Amino acid sequence: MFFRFPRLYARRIHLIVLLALAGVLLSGCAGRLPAVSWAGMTPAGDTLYVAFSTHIYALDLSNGNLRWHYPESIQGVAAQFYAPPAVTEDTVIAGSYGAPGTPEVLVGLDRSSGKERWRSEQPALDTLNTHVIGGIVAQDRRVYVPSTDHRLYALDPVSGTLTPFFEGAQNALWAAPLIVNDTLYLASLDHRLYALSAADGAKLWEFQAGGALAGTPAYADGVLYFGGFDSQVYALDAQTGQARWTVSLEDNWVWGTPAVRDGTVYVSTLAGQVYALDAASGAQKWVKQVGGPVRGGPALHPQGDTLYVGAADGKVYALNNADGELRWVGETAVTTHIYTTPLVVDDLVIIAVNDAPNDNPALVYAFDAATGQVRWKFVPPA
Amino acid sequence: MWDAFWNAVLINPMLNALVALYSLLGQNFGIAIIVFTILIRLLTLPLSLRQQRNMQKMQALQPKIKEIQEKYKNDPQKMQAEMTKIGYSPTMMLGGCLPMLIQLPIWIGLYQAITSAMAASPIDLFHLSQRLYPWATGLAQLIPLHTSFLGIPNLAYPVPHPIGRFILPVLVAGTTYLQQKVMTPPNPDPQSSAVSNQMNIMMPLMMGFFAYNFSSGLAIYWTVSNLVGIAQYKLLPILGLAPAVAPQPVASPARIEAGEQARSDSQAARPALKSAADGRSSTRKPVKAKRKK
Repeated sequence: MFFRFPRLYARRIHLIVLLALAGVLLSGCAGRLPAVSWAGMTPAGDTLYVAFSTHIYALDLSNGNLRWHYPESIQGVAAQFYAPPAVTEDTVIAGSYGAPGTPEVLVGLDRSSGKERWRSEQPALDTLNTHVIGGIVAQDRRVYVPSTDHRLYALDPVSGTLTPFFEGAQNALWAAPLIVNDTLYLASLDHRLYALSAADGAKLWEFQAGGALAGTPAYADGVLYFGGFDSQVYALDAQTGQARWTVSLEDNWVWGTPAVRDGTVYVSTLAGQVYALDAASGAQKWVKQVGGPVRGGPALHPQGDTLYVGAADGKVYALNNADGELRWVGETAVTTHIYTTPLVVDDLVIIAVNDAPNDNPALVYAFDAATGQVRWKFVPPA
Repeated sequence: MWDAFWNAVLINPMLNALVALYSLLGQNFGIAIIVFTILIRLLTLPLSLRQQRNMQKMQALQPKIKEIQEKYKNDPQKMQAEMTKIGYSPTMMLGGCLPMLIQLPIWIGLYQAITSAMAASPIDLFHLSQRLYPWATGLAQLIPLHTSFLGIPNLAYPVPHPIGRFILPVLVAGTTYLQQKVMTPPNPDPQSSAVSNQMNIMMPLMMGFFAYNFSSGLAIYWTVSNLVGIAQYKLLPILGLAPAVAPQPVASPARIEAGEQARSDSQAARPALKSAADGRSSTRKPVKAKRKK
């Protein structure tokens, strides 16, 4: 028997290669659909709308109870949703992250029941390369949809019809637009920040940064604050686009939207640092290292003096916004990762997690803003 | 733990080198994939040569092994003794597999490095940010990489054209088939040969299927890798860097008459092997012609 092996030499070699290759290539296909992004969350009234993977959930903000989910059942190849939905008076609008083999869709859902009001599969969108990653923004009966096909679309919230609104970007739009008065600010992976007329999409100015811009800028007192993959933080005059100051954070990419209050800009980085910078000069006030990379931005308590960040180590860190001192650490599950910006609603700090373990498959956690105790968790229905 | 080791030792160095190459080659990711694949092939050339030589040795011994297997099929101990006499040892099998097994992680690493660099999704981009060396100045500013190439809008996806989408899979399947055809030594055993032929069809079809569904960047990598493999196999013997692999005559079991004759066969086989290893010739005379004086 032993000496039969050489005779099968070539066949064994092929089988080894074949099995190894198949194992490598198919390893990502097994099990549940892998998440390609993180949950998009939008609070409105007493409801939290969460878009994650194949579903959109409406949760009671006070206790995390599920009010409805869309779709009610999945048949065939399902669309995936990650971008924070836009919420109008009566409609929840969500855009899908279309992967090859799944349709690119925008859906308008009844805000109270989750029933589909309209569904728009857009032929204008490139069916392979178009995703809605950045949040959809609704303001004054206008709805703006940033897309990875480099375009910003205007959406009719009644019919779901999309029309290109701005086509001047040279790369994907991964950030929700920011609208201040009549101006729309749009960050792009093409390293530029665009200022557009919110009425007709005309370009007012553009600013060239040193790296990709994947986060929405923050605005305070006529100044825009944002960071990029070039590890720089920028402060621009919102009217003219002229730089007020630029600060280098060495090798720390900035992805999330900064938080601004009382003359201080708070910035979190993918190296796991939280910076407090003087809003007027960019001078560093303090810096705090947390336990993992911080993809999202920091969030300030509306009334208090605490700053919250969610880190990729699956923990939420509450810091004193005056000096960065750690107040509490909120735990999720051991293997989870947090990529979202915390939402601070009333006395709750809400985050969503990725890679929830099977024995603790919660998607959303609400922590007590003062103590860090888990007030409720939301586990998606199986 | 294992993931961290794997990333630190293999994936991250490859990924950073690939992105650096992208920067040096005019920020063209398609060309970066092609050049990087060729470079990795060159770096693993010593292992490929060793594998090629071992394969040649096995091929040279194959007729004798077959003869011995047939002759002593009812006497395993004698069979083992005769195998040893002709210069075969079980470690030769290991010697044949080992270079390939060492190369396998490198190819898997290259595959993962290309996939990581394209960072098609937000999660992928987050992971890419953790893999680029912070001291490698300027790499972060290159992100996201420009992944259009030769009319393909985005190498991170299949070609978005109903007909164009088939071009790369056909190339991948065709070059995989050619490489298999070139590198698979002729097998005197009809049963093994049939299995081998079947694999030569199935493997290209499977690779073509993957290329149809996976990113076009990976399809380019597979195509280039196959072409380099074929060129390497054909050119190196011409350059005198590797033995040529040529078909072996199928020996008849009747040619071996006794154990003493098998001993003389082993003596005859050694110079033939040496000659093949030197790259001069791998075609041996029929066994019987050498045997009797």
